[in-house]
Amino acid sequence: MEEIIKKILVVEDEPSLLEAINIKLTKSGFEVITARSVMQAKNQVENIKDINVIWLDHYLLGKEDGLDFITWCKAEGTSYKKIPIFVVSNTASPDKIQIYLRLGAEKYYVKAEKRLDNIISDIKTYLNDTNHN
Amino acid sequence: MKIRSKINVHFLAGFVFVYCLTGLIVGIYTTNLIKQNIYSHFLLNSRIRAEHIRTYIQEQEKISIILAAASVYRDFLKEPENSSQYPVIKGKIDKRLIRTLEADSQLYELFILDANGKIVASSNRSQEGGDKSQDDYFIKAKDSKVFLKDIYFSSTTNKLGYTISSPVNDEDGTLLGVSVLRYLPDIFFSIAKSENVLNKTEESFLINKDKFFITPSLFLGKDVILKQKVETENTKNCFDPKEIEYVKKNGYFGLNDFFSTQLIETKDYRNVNVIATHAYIPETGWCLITKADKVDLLSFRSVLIMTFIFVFIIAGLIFLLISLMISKMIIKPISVLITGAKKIKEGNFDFKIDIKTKDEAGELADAFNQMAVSIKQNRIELQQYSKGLEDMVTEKTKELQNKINDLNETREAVLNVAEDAEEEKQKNIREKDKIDAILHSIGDGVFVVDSNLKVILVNEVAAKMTGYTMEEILGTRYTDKLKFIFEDTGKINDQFINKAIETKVTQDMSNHTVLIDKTGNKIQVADSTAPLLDKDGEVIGCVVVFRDVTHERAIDKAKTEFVSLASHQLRTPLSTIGWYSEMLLSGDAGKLKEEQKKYLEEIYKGNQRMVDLVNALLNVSRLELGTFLVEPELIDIIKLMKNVIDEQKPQIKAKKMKLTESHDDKLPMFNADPKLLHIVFQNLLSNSVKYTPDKGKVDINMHIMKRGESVNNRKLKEDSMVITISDTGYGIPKMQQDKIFTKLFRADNVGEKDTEGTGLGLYIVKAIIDQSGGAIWFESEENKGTIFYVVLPLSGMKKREGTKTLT
Repeated sequence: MEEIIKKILVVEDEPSLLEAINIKLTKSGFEVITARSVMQAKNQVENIKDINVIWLDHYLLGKEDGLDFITWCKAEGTSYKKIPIFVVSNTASPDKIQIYLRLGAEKYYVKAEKRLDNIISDIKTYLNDTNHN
Repeated sequence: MKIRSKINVHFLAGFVFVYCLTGLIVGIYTTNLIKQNIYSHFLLNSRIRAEHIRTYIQEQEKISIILAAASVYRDFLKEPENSSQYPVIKGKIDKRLIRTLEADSQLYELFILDANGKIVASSNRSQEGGDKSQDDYFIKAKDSKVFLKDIYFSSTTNKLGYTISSPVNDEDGTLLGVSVLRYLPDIFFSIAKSENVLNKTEESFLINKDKFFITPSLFLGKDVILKQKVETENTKNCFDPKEIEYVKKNGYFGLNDFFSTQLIETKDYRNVNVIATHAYIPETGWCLITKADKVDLLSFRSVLIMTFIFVFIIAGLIFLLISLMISKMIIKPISVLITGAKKIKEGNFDFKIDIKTKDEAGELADAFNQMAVSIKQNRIELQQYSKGLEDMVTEKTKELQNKINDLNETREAVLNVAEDAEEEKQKNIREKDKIDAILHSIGDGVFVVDSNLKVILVNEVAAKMTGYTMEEILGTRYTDKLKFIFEDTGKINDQFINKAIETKVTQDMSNHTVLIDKTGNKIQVADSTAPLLDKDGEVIGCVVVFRDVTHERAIDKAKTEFVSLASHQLRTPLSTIGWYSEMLLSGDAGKLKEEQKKYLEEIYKGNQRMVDLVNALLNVSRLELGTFLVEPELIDIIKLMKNVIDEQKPQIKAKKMKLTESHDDKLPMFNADPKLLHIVFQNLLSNSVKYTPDKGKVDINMHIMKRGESVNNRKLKEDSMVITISDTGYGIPKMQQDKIFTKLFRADNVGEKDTEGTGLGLYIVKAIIDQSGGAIWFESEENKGTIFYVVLPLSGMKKREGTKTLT
């Protein structure tokens, strides 16, 4: 079955990691849009209307971090409120994980402990499920 | 004002009032009475004198008539001058005249006139032959029984006098001659000058019809007689025809009528104010004036006033004396009582007041003595009570001291600061007995509140932290000056004190409590609170110890941030290595040679170990910092163990090992942090799997044991969950068994066989179990196997607030 190409916004400050994620996602059939700061991410979300999913790191360029972005994204009355967000970060403190999940993140992954394959397949599964539903 | 003075003043004031009132009433009454008396007397004097004068004149007139009627007079006047008998008769008459003259001293001359008015016989022979036919006393006497000629000045005799003359008639009534008696007026002078006078200005004098003086004036002497006229209101009244009529008819007015014109206030001939009365003398047509100076007459009033004042002074003095005596009588027991009260105030409760009287003072003294006894008793009770309190405070202070020592010990461990000096200081402090010294020397803030939450004790450190002085804090409600609030909500944190009072159990202040000082600055504090109990176990207050932990918190925060940042910073390159290796291995960059793939897998594995090592190091750091969370929840330990086993299944399978697991039929749900227990079991089980050769056996056993039962010769202190994990592995060399739980330790025998161990797993396990109040130990024999015993109290893990979970 031919899959519809999904747009994914990857928000990650580390260029090498961003590159790896980009390559892997593209190979997995995603159209990848990137951002390294919250400001860029916000612009992307506002300019590109049909983003299907967001990949979010915690520490980002600039003063604002992932929490600021997810708070902005999930605010009431926005069109992008429904975009699912997957948090992929090395900042593994449980309180932060809890906060992200409470703010509406779908899942939280600790980068160093997870293979890229696994994360991408999780995202794909999630998107397919919601599509079929 | 003292009571004594008050009594005296009141007494005197009362006296003065009563005296003056009485004095006024009595004075007015007396004045009126005396006045009336004086007036009566005055009037009476006037009347008596008037009557006297009248009587006297009537007497004289009678004498005159009697003399004129004597036959000797008739015979003499009938006898012609030239008869022989004449000298004989004349001689008789002369003798008679002389005798009569001698009989009355007032009579200074008497003579007989013949029908022609010629003196035919006289007591003064030289006058004989003189013609008196033109004189009043001859002319007027001829036609009446008697004639009184008013006082006049006789030029012949050169004397004042008056005459009374009567006709000498024959039997048939023919006038033979006139008998004339000439009197001196002295008798009137003396009557008017009666001795019975009220005062020295009182005088009586007579005036004739023409209002001339005929008796001397008291003030002007005799010269006024017949020379000065008296024209006063009084004389006018006296000669009022109506009054003359009345007097002639009825005599004088009654004494009670003196308010009429009889007694008047007027001016006399000297123009001086006088009280005057008058009496008309009908016989002569004279008027008797009696008068006295008004000032003089009423002088009794000043006497009255003087008397009043004199009596006032005397009576006042007597009164004052009595009042002094009475007040002294009343004051005396009071002074004794005051002395007594002072003695008691000084603490001499055995002092007895010695007043034995049966009156109120005596009763008061009795009551006072009883009060002293009861105060003494109360004081003794109070002393005992306060001693109890003091003991309790001492005890509590010791407790606090111990607590502080505990805190300090913890700090020592964390900060690894040389605390020798501090300990020395603590020792010195402990040596001091007095509470004050302890309190004020403690490096932490200490304050004590009573059951009403009022601060009853505070040390300098506490005061300094708040910015207030100790005096300002003492006695206020502690929330006024010692404001503890929650850092996050800003609400007052009074739970720890309230709870300590409520539960009677020592409380710790929750984390993130700050103290707001006087200037509004926030100071992070940590504290503990102990209830103060009396001997009956009732809460009488609360002791709070707190200290500034701003610095500690800052260090903690820095460390926590370091760990957090380090974890992130270390993991990021590890992620890069991991993910790129992964991509290469999955052929994303083209197909790899077999050898290349092998090398990359080594890189990937090494990277994963590095990730594990970072995690382990982070856990160690959190354990040591005490920043890890313990979040107990009710867990099913069997389920948890099954998860751990499932994770290890691949390795077990790979090594063709046999794993058995047994447990009690029913294990209760159990309060523990699942993450921590997972770490414990995961480490123990993975160790067993790792360090057991292929085809070896691993056995897991879980069951409940009661308090007092023994596990591997160790007695349980409480009901516990006992978990054993045994294997048939390499074992731990005897020589190294005591080091097995130390950090970064790896046994020699396994080091040779496997390099993957971090040397941190058992260290973490031990730390977690110690924190949970449990115990872990093992038995091991090299190349035979190892058995680990884990004992967890069924009471469960204690909740612990921290910042990090272990991973």
